[in-house]
Amino acid sequence: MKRTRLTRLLLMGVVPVALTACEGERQVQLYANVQECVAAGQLPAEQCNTDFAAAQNEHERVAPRYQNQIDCTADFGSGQCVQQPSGSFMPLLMGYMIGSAMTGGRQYSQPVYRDRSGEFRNAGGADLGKSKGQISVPESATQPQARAITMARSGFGSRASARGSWGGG
Amino acid sequence: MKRIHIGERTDWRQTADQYGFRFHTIDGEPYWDESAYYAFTLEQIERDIEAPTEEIHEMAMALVAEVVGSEQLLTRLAIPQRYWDWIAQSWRSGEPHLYGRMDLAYDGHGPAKLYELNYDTPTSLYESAFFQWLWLEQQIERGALPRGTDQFNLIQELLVQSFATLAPNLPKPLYFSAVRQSPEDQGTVEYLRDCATQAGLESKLIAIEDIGLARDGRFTDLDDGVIGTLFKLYPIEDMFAEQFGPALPDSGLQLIEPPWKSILSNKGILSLLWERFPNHPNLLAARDADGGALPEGWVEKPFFSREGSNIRMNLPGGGQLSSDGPDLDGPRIWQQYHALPEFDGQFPLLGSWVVADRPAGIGMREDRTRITRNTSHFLPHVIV
Repeated sequence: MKRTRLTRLLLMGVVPVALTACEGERQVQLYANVQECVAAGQLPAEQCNTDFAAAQNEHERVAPRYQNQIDCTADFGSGQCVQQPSGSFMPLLMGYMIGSAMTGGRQYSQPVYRDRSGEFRNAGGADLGKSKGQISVPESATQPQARAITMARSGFGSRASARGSWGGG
Repeated sequence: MKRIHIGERTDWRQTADQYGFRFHTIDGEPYWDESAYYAFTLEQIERDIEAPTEEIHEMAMALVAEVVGSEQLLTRLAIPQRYWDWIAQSWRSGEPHLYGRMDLAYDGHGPAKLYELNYDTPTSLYESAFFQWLWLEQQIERGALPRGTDQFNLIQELLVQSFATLAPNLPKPLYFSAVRQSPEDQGTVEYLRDCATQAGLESKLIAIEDIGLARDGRFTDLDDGVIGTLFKLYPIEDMFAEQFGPALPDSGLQLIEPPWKSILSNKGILSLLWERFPNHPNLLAARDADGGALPEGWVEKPFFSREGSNIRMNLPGGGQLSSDGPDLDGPRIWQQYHALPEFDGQFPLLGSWVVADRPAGIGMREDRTRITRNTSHFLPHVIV
């Protein structure tokens, strides 16, 4: 046969298959700092250190960014936001979350923040609860999406509208 | 190769609605047309379509490798200099591509002739990969076509496989994007997203107009989330020329199709192919237009036209034929005229798909004129 035996659609059919129902929980460790991590005794001190450094690096990349201080403190509380050299505001790093990936067992470490009501949040805004130590979080919370301040939109698409025609061919 | 009339499935419009095919009728004109189909022999498909598709694809890919290393050729293809390093880097680091479609003139006898490559924003994908497959299954099931009737169509299977292969190395998250107001383009990216989902890849949709540019040079979605990989059904040369274009090389954004596809979506590649592989049985003579009058028996095409716009034909024996389009400046090619075959007063053009670097299947579009446009009809095909 020169054709596939079975072809199906998941999203475009009349009854799209639900894909979000099976999200699992993941066990992770959340600490405010290296001392807490070492004191918990779950991880070697050396790893507590390298994971914290990794979270600090990630913080630079993925931390929520705000154009002004008011918006930032509305989410994270007063005194919790610092201005960056670029002029934008970011919340202070309030801890880190360590876990291992579902496949391959690779360790990862993510920065966490504390909102004005005391809940820990990841960089994508997912609520991680108030507890520290060994905690359980939704799978999706372990891979937050990086944020940036959008300065402009509609920078693509003008030639298609000028043409009055489609992009594809 | 024959064009054969057949009764339409009485419920095909409901079936189309059920499977999200919303552009079967465009501006009140039928686009999907199942009142007839094209029938090929297995030998015609394998010898005349599949094998040349693989060969032309390899020739084209070899040319990309040559062009990215040549300032002279990049200049000749009118690719803006500010993007050269980015394009070359995307090729050298092996940034993956998904698909392409080559348009062939074929009448059932003798070698198919390459009209052009659509390697950046090929459409007619959903109807080729899915809806004509469904048509055949249902026509066999209903006894309108004999059991054992086949079709050259591995397109969806290879798309899903490709997404599964690419997934681990794509920066997350993945977005699919097209022009907001185009039902056809939106349908095509919805379909590709469906294939990605089948491969276990999570993704989102964003209109190309909604993409944001952040202070730090990264591209964002409507919630200010940074876009990792962007599948764009939007011409790369238009992105180059638009406001955000200059931000692309330093944005960290991975594109599918990748920047190096700008070399193959460019009709200047047809002149280069003919220079490197002169008299190849599947190629038509082509050269860059020299500014003089279009010679008789030749066709003029802009480097960057899409969907059959701005084509000019000086037919053998006299007679002019042209298609309108936006005002396009810039270079053009001249390609030797080679007539499309005629079946029942229609002129079919064969779209041969390449997915995962493999010939993957075909889709037939036909028009009442010798220039195939985006308003041409799409007809299913079979192998008998």
